[in-house]
Amino acid sequence: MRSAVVSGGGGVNSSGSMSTLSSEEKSMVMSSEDSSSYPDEPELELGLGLSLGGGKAKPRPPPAKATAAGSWDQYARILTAKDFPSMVSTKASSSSSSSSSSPVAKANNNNGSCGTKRTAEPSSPPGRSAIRKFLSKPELIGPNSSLIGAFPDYCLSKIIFLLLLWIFHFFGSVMAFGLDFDMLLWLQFQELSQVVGWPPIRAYRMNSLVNHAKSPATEESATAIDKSKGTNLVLDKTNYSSNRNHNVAKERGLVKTSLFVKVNTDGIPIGRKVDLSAHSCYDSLAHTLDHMFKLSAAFGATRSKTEEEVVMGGIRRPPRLLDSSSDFVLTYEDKEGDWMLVGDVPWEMFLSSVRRLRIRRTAEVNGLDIGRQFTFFPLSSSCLELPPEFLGL
Amino acid sequence: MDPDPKKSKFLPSNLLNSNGSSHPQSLFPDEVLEKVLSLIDSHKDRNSVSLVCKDWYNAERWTRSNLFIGNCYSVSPEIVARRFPKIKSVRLKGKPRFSDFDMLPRDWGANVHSWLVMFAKAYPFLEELRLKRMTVSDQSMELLAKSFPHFRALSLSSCDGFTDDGLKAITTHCGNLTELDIRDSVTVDVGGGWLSCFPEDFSSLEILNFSSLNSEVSFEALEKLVSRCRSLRVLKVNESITLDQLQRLLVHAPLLTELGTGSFLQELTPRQYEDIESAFGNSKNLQVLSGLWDATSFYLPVLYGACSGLTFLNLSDAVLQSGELAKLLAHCPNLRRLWVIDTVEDKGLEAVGSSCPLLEELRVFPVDPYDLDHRHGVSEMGFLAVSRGCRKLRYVLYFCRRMTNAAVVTIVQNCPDFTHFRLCIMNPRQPDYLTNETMDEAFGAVAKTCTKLRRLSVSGLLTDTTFEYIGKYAKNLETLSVAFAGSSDRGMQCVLEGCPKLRKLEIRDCPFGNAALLSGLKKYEMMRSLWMSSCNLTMKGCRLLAREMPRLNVEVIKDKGSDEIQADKVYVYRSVAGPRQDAPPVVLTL
Repeated sequence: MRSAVVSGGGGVNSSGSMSTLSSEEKSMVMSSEDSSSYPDEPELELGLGLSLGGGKAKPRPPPAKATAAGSWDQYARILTAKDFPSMVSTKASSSSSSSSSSPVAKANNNNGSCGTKRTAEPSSPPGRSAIRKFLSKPELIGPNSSLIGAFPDYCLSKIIFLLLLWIFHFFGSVMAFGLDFDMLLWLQFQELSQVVGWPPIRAYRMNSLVNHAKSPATEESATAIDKSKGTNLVLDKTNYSSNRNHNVAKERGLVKTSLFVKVNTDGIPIGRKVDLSAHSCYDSLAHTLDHMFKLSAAFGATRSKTEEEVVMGGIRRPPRLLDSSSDFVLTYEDKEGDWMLVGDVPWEMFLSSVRRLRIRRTAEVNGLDIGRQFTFFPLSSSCLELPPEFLGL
Repeated sequence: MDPDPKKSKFLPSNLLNSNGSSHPQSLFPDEVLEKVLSLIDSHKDRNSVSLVCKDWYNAERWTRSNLFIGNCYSVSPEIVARRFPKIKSVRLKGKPRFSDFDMLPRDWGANVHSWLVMFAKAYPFLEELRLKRMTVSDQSMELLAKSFPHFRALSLSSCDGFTDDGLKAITTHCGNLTELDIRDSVTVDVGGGWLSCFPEDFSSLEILNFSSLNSEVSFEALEKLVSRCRSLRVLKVNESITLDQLQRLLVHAPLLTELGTGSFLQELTPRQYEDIESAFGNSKNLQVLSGLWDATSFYLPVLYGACSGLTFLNLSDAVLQSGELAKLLAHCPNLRRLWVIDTVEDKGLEAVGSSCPLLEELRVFPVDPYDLDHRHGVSEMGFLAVSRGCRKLRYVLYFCRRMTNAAVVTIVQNCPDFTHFRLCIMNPRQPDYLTNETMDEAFGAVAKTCTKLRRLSVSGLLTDTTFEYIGKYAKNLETLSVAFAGSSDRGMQCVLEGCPKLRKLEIRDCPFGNAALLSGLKKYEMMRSLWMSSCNLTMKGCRLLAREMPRLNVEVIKDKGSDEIQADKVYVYRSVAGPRQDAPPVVLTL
């Protein structure tokens, strides 16, 4: 839910852009704002928040309740109706830097070499001035704002919206803690990969297992939060506990580590491994595989040069794995065990479902029940540095 | 106690009668005492022996040859060197266990170098070094390789800090090496060139384990090495070794008792398939099997010939389905230990229950710990099935997504001999999924029924009641791991007051505060260590503890961005060496 963004709103000033809402930015936002100029206030428990590494598992209120609410806190930073009256009345608040981030100030890692610490101490009031700041920012409210879809254009309805959400979650969690943990647990799940050192599995085991089965988290989750963090959720799962690279920066969402999958080629008995996380798009992957298996030499040009030029908007490229121009076709086995053509789905989705790769000779591909011949696939413009209008021809 | 520089015959005062003359009956000469004591291996027994009287203390220290130090910071190398003059084999453990899960800064400490420097001076006849969770640099490895002419065995478990160069030093210079075991200690930077550096005439190797090495090794060098070393009994290769290469290795080493295969997925010709099948068939002595990366139902049958004598099958790198596991287990009737991945699901565990009546240890690892899809993995049904079929079960590590109190109660009734019960319900604070109650009764039953319980890990939704049970009933408990559990300080207090043999307590994300921490003041000196992270501790409480108990080291690691008051990660351990000097700046010693 976009409303969650509000909690990060105050902190967003420094990062300057709300639109991408990637976890990197969120964590950067959270970590950069560390003003604890607010005195301690009772723990706020309810409402929506971005999962910016909310509170620790500490039940300040009665323990039983806290086990539910506390778990909420862990994963969802919260705004309360307390903030709203001040919004409506538009009282000038004491100036302070964003307070919403201070509860989650600890959501970043400690000293850079530990795992990311996701338990934040909600010791200061979140959101009060943050909301105000957020709402007052023209660029955040205006038509160019990415939040436009979630919020109405004017203050009052925003406030009512948030109030309703707050009420919903208040009652939701009251009911939840006693009897039905499913909703809480479901939301917890999304953040499970964000908790350091849990489940307690050794890093080397995580890495090798992750190559075998990837959960399609990005497809299954339904919330906007998750969508926006989809990429990073996948990366986080694989990255979070890897200690293979000494220089890994363990900032949440900035972790980049190996996602090795096996690549086999027809005719060569011994496979290789390729690190998928070192690539950001299909093109660079194909390039690497070309190089690795020296496939270019075997390419037959089945396409005329002029055709290529038209397709690529005037830029001539050598035949590649992912074109039908080469003798080889790149396929992958997905989580369900089916062999698919590489390039059909967005890169992030591919990352989350690929188990291993196989380069097949074109003649053999017909045996696979793929039944399609693709000549083009959507390339991310950042990858090829083509202007967007050349894509999607 | 100050060590005596020389041994002397002693006259125990209790043998003197009232007028001061010695009893005519024989005194107990030193030599006899030392001869007897040299037969005692267990370090616990030796520690008891050394407390009897000063003379026994001296006799014991002169005869101890195996040194075990459970926390490398609890004592200093100098103190050790002064007390024990004749050590041949050392076992050292360094970082707290949670370092395995990335909860410690990388430069936290536990560097073995200062120990090696002392060993080089004091124990030039050192033969064996076994390290766990310590940092070993290349420099240390070179020192090791060059300082000990009789050095035979190096075992590194969960260590880090070395590269190919360090290992090269070991393989080049240690001519009498019988054991080189780096198991799970490898980081991505380590190459495989060291394997080629064994001298041409080197043939003493008995144990070789490089299963976690990421890079390739020269197969030619490996094959030559295996064919030269006729006493090789343990060989665990890494994933770079293919099936047909494995076959050639097996042919050279038919006496192997422990084998770790390489990748089990390769396109084999029928001839090659037959060859590897017969190679396994000829390996009649195999007791331990591991590796098996990418094993599938097509290739698993090559193993069947070697399975009849298997006692330990480690499938934690093989993603198998229930049917594949069932077929494999049908050939392994003597299995005592089994490690699997939860893709085998409950159905696979039913096969475990029916095929392996002698099973004593079961570990089930999750293939995808963050899987949002509850349908996969194992549940309480699988565990129940195993407990019904394997009544001798005593060690279990079980990762699951749902559990019920009733199931656990039944499980421990079926198998009351548990010594290690580690149940990890992967979603924090998850209740019994059928009744939505807390999991207190489950762990209460474990504590009550399993009187021999030494190690317990709890999970799920737990209140203080669990800890009341543990404190009241788990009288043999030595290690307790707690996460996301408890409701108040009382929980921790119950455990600290109740478990007399508690040695290690690890707590994370629980609502225990200063009162709980301080309730164990008297206890911590009898324990090896205490770890508390993301609890309600403050610096004030930690400082108070440090002040009250000067023989405890209290170390605090604060997370970036946390305020002045919170003590985010606290590590408390007893030490006669005082606060350590090599702590990185982020670790505050109070």
